[in-house]
Amino acid sequence: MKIDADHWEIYKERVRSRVVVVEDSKLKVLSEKIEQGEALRVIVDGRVAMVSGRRIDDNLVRQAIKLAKVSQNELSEFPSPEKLDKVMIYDKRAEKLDADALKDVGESIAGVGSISSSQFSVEVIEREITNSEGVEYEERETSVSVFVEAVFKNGSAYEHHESRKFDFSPEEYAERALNLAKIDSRAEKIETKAYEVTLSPIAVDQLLSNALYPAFYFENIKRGRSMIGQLLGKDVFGELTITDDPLIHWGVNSCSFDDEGVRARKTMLVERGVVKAYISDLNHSPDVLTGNGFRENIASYPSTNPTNILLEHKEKGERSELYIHAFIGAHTSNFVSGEFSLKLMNASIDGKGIKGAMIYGNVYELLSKISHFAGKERQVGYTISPEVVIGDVVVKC
Amino acid sequence: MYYEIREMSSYTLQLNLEDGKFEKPKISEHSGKSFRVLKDGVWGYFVGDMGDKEGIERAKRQAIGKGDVKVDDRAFRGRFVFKPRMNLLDIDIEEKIGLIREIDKLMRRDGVVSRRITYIEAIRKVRIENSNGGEIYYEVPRCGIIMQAFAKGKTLQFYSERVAKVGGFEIAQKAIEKAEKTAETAVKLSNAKAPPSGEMNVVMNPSLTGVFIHEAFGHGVEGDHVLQNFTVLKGKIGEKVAHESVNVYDDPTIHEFGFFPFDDEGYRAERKAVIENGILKTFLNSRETAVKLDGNAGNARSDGLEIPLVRMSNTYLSSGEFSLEELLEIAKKGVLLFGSRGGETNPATGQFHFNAQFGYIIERGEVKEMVRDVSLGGNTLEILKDIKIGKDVSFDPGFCGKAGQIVPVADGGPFTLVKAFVGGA
Repeated sequence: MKIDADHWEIYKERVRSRVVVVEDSKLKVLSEKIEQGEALRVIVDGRVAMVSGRRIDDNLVRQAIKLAKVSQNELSEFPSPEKLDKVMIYDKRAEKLDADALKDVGESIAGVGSISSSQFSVEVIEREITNSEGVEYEERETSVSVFVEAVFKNGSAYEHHESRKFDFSPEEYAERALNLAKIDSRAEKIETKAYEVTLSPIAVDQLLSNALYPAFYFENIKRGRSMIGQLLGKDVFGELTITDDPLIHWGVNSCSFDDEGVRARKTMLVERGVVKAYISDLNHSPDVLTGNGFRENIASYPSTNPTNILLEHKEKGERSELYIHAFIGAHTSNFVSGEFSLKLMNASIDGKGIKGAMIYGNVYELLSKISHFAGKERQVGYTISPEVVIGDVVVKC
Repeated sequence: MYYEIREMSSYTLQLNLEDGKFEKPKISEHSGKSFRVLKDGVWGYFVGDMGDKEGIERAKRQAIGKGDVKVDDRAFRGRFVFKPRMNLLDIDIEEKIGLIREIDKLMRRDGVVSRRITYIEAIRKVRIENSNGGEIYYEVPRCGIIMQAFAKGKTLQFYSERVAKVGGFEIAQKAIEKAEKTAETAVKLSNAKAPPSGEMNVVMNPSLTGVFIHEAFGHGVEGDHVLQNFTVLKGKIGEKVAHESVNVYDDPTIHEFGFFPFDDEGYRAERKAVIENGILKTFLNSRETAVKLDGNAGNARSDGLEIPLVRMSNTYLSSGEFSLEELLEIAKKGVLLFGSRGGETNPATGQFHFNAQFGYIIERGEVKEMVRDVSLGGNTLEILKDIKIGKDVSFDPGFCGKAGQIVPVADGGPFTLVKAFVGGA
């Protein structure tokens, strides 16, 4: 296959996955998938285009070159090779989990009872990237995850967990979900007023992934879709420190290179309240590389995404009485203005469920009011954080 | 032993014009096969590049353990090729670029700090065979444009409009009619006030009514949610669940964005009356849930080669008797809300929450100043009991996510008046 372009890049991904699905506390599906895909980016006269498919063939190469000729997406070249920092993300024992092992896990989750639906999955992902600049990287990783939804009478709740290794008990998450659903089944209205609230690591990730992290993407700053550009160097977030760190061993989103062959590195975004930096993919910040270009799937262009976002705060203490497990509608938050308006899911006060409550406001203001962190650190999605306690939050019921 | 073989190929072209520049053009061509076997009440599923016999064997090896799954194994045979007016592959890329540029020109105005126009065309070809001799094949093209304008006034705001349906390039051409309004709305919105909050009268425009029917109600009638005890509508077939003026349908045969001729289990698509005169008539079903819930299958869809799930198609609240003026007059005080920035619902409790794109204050039955960042929440069944329905139904395209799978859908309805919880800054 000849690629008649000034520069080129081929990204390959092979995913082997096994999943067990439980529905209404019964085993329903066991599946195995072997999927592979390839994506080609070419640069012709400083303009980039992309094609993808099961395999890149001559026809797709021709289409890529044709598209590059109408593209106005400027990119001068792909990254050059660098020495990579190794990070631990592959667990041999996870890869060895077979259909029988998954059936056992499925049955143990089903055995908890009142499980509306659940999925336990194991993935082995192999990524490979080569480019005309001489990059030739490959990496293998494992991911083990569980998602459980429990329904008890008219209460419901979910829990999920993801790890690089099979180092957790899926039925424990099923039990947690069931317990939360039981509390929810007895939920009552509370008085509308300002409370000190505690956000669980799930709630923290839901809120920040939608209302804050995209504001740190250089593309959004450049296009006037974020306030972070104007806030660089300013003290905005109180005592909070926020770091994007792909090099944490066994981190759920750790890697030694991103999906466009840029070396992974740590970026401090906020240091004790002061906004310090942004993150970016290659295309939007070719001069300052941060290694945050990731592909949603094989057909997607790399775009900016966080890796593991570590939250730190100097004050530690106890949870408040009002605890928020999760939100409904977090993806409707507006990262451009930072405004959010969310329904609480499985919130409780002194262990008693709260019915139909909402919080609303601006994420910048909310984070400046963090009083302290509480409990154990846990990674949920991008975020590695303990529980976050915030004072003076109006809960509307 | 029941089995299915599904072979799929897809082609997609996406062009993005961001602030006047063509960025990230891409073409993707994917194909693959999935195999599904039902043994001892448990599904074995396999996705991989292999022959039919080998694939079935591999799926069979996954089906271990015991479960209680049974299927409606009715066989359908048929071939359907959707013929658009302007075939996507016959239109030169330069013409597509020209249209996007024209839209961009119309979106330029003072106050707009950023513009994004996305053009998408896709062709999906599917062949499904099952163990009872069923064999179907279909080809469906989809085309559409998403326009987003970001504006800076007192606050930074964005507004978006989508035009997308099954069909060819003629669908994208219609986007031009909405370009100027997209930019104009974003600019107005950037100077809009924060909304009031609390429980109040809400008039929803057709697009928001559609999202309400899809998100707040539709997910609750999906058969898998019923079997998972994950819906407040379980066991309510034949019961009154809404005001007698409420009629809700799911119809994959309408040529909107959620169209399909056969579902992803090879079952013939049909219109379903979900609520008629306020009475819950049926759930939406897959081959599996149809057996347990005594309904008709035909609502199983999948994203690529994922396991088919019970999904909606084109879901709508049909028309009622009120004009918009009458609804405003009855509301007297409250908000008039437009569009949606997405929403979420918990079918198990009937609680829903979503954000409108913008709204207006209603005072003494008249539309007053604009409001921004406004959200809407409440309990679905309570709202449906006391709803007043307008006259003209229109559809909006969207992408619906469930268990990590995204499928194209359309939601529709007329203007409606409800009482709901409104939140804002």
